[in-house]
Amino acid sequence: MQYLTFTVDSALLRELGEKLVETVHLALVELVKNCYDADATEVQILFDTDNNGKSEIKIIDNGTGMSFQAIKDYWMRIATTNKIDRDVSSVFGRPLTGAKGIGRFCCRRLGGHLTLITSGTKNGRAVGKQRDVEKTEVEFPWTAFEPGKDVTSIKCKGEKKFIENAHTGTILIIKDIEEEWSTRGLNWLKRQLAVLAANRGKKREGYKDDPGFSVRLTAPDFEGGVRDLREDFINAGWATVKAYINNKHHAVCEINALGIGRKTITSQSAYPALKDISLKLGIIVEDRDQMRDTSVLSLGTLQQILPEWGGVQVKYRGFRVFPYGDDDWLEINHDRGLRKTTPKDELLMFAESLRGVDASRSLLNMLSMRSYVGNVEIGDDAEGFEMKLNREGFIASESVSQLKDFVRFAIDWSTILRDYYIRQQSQYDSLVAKNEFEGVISEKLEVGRVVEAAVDYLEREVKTISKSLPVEERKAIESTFLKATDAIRKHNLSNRLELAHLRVVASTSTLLLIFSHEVKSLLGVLEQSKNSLLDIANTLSLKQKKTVEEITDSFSDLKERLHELLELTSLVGTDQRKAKPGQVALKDKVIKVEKVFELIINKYEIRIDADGIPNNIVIKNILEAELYSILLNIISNAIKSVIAAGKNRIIQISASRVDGYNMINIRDTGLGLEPSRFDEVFIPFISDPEGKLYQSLEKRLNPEDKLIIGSGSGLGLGIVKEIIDAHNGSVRFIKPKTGWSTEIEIKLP
Amino acid sequence: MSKKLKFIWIDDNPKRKGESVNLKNRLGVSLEFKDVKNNDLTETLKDIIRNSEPDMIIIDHKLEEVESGVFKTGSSVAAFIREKWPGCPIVCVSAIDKKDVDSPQRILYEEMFPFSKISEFNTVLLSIAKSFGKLKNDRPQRIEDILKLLKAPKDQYEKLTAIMPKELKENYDDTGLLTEISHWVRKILIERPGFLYDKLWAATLLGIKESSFEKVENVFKTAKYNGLFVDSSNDRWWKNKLLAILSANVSERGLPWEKGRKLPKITKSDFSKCYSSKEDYPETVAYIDETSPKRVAMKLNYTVPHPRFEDLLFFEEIRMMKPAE
Repeated sequence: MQYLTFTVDSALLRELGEKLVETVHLALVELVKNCYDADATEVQILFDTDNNGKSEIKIIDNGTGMSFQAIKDYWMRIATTNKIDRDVSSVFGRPLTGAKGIGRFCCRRLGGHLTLITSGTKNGRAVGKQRDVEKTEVEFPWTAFEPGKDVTSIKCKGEKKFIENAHTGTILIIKDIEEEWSTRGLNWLKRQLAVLAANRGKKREGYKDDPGFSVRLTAPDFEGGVRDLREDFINAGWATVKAYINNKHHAVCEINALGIGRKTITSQSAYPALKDISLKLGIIVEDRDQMRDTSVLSLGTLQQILPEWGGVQVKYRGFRVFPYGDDDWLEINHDRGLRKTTPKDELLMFAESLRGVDASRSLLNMLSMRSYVGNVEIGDDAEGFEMKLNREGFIASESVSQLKDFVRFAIDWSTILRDYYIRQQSQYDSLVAKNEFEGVISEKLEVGRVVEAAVDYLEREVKTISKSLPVEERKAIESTFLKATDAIRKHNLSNRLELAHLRVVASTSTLLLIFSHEVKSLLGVLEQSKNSLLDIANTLSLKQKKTVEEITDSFSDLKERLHELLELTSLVGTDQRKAKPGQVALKDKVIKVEKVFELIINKYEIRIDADGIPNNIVIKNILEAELYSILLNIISNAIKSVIAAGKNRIIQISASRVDGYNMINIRDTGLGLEPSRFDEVFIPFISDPEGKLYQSLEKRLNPEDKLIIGSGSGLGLGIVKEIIDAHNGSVRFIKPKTGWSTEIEIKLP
Repeated sequence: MSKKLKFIWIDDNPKRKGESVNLKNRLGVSLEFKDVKNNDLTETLKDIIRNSEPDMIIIDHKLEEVESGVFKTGSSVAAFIREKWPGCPIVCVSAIDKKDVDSPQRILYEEMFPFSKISEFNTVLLSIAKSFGKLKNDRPQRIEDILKLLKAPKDQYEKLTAIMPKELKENYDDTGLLTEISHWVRKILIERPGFLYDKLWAATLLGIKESSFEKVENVFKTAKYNGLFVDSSNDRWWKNKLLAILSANVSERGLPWEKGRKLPKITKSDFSKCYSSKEDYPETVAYIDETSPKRVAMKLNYTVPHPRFEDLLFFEEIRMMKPAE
């Protein structure tokens, strides 16, 4: 009997390299991720030329390095890795970022020859200067791995040395570069690396404090030359803000922002407890139009970076102080939550000096604390900063509180300038048009009158031109023109009315938030009173106890109803989970809406019949709030209509699947609608074209209920149509089935 | 009978003292209310940690009325107290919504409850306080100790050991051990259906409606979970024990939901139906959509994986209703 064994052809190495690592850029990113995973705090990437004028790439890091044994056992044994059995790095506890075991193929992908020089301790779990370090150097002549040769037959030259008191780290030198690097590829690389470079330090339980990770990219052949990617990252957003305390203890701030340019301010108020303090931060907005350098920042990378690494951190004599920057120490989110929009004292005066800025609301555009990325540095000469024993922040002092005020001064100032910038931007286009138009009619105009004036101007011009025409034609043109201008004027008027109304609606949503906050504390009072009553009940006779318990039961019912209503108001709030479209089951939401109107429904004996909705009718990719909005508007209209009609008050909702769409039909026994009005009711402010609804309602509705179902904003069906159209659906009135007065048909995917 | 449990309530709203008295009477514990609006918070805290460790601390999240520069939120107070008493459960009772608090702060509390619903959490509060007491008296030194405290069936040891996070398997001296145990047991083991089933899952397994489960509950009483963090108002049953008892009581062969219907007292009106298709024998429990907390029994092929839940080894997949084709 004979035994056979597998051998591996060298062609496999190349094959694997190309399959696993699609592009050279990806290969380089993977290698930098390995540096990150090896707990390096700095990595340099050099695109260099050697003495013979050939390109080479060097990647130098100060991570844990590898021992000779580790290289032999892991690195040079294909399909193994030492990353599999753990998911965080050994020194700083960083979540590992690199793909498993593909580092060597990345080197192969980048060039034909690799020199690996690595210094590490025996167990590979230490960084920085170490007493016993093993330095290993290995050469990998990739090109020698030709097809036809067995992988194991090729020898890679390597040697090891022991050194005392040396720094750990790894150097990769890749020669015989095989592929050209393009500027576009380099920009992609920068964006990927920005995610890693955004690590500005973090504390992870059970590990050493992570001082952060910086990437320096030196590519002399490309625009820019030497880059510090963290610096680039901070400077790529909407603005960079620098500030320091001068020798008179005033804050000196400088901003460099998109659309604003460079601006400075020196505070009038002083911070007497502060000296040797400086601040640098980037203001980063998740909007492509508000970035100064899109080659470094992309929306995708921002979504990874900001939640994890955003925030203003504090460095005390060069070391990061936790938890500042992970928490809301500047109370930015706190103030946003409370909708504090008015700046204080001197900044209010500053805001008032800017044209077009509404000073009392100038902090409305304050961003989330995560959007301010940077550090405040406390130098050696600063006084009044004493670390707590547990090293979690400073002991409260005048200096600490002034530090906060100083940073907030700089941030609030930049926020006012951002408000200015945003207003400028939105007014820019209309200003240009208006100015051009002013040029034409050579007179100054108020903004609200532009359309009017333009129509007047056109009217005059058309009359002048048409004078040269024969009478018949002139009359025809003037009559057509009159119709056109009439339409424009009417449309303009209705737009302005709609806008005015939307302003009111917009302010009610803020009111609603404040209101819901108040109701929440009232609910607490209700709970406490109920519990106190129950407590007292225990001391009473059985009969009395029963009575008290009945009272508390009605308390509980009331509380439950209020909770349900509050849940609806939270839809306009800031809950991230609710801000994402998803699958929403129809029937459940109809039942919720029914509950909202419960009082009215019972009082006027209205029957809402939702049995015709199968349980499994689900609207896809819609916001919960949008579906509520559709249902609330349509059902409240139906309720008004059936009350006004005064006969058998029934509203029926049914649904089915037709041709891959959800068809929802809502019928009622209300006043009904003339088929000729089927389309115009969707136009804003024509909610009651025949005027009969509100007249009849007046007669039949108790005055106090008017408040609950509203007197009609005139926007309801318009909003419904907007939402449904935006989801590629349709909504229309159809001829109702026998026995019904009105029927609306909604089609949604 | 052992000594009364000792609770401390720290709040900057003196009006809540009334509720603290109600709570004390409801739970039968001793409870001290620390009004930090009229008293200095830092001094109060110093005073608290000079005394013996309580069984639970209740604290408000927003301490707006407090003059201290250091502590602005209950979570920062919690961090301070944990330094001294790492095994003291700290529960937040607040008017603000759980979801409006950042997760790094939220994690410093054992649990957050809305003040306006506090009376619904009597049993949970007691369960947390008592279980921490048990853990402190009998601190686990090995993984078997945790399994024993869970009163887990022996044949589940291997699987449970496999999925326990590594924080529960090593470093038994770690100060955070007890809170790690609490989080894993309450948020994973008890909360996620898998090893333990709630009433809806248990009823669905037996092929019957949730409301009919009480008819057979007594048959399965030995399957009921009574280990660490057991909450008497939110029962759980060991899935493998449910199945074992079912086999012992019904001799016919078949799937659990077929056999469950053969249990005594169960009639046709108790049988469960698929919420989506109305078909017989729904095999799983699913959410009706991505927004609602409502869960119902459904047949597997009328459901899809719920996008907002991760899969966990040995636990049931969390699913939601599939939209009608």
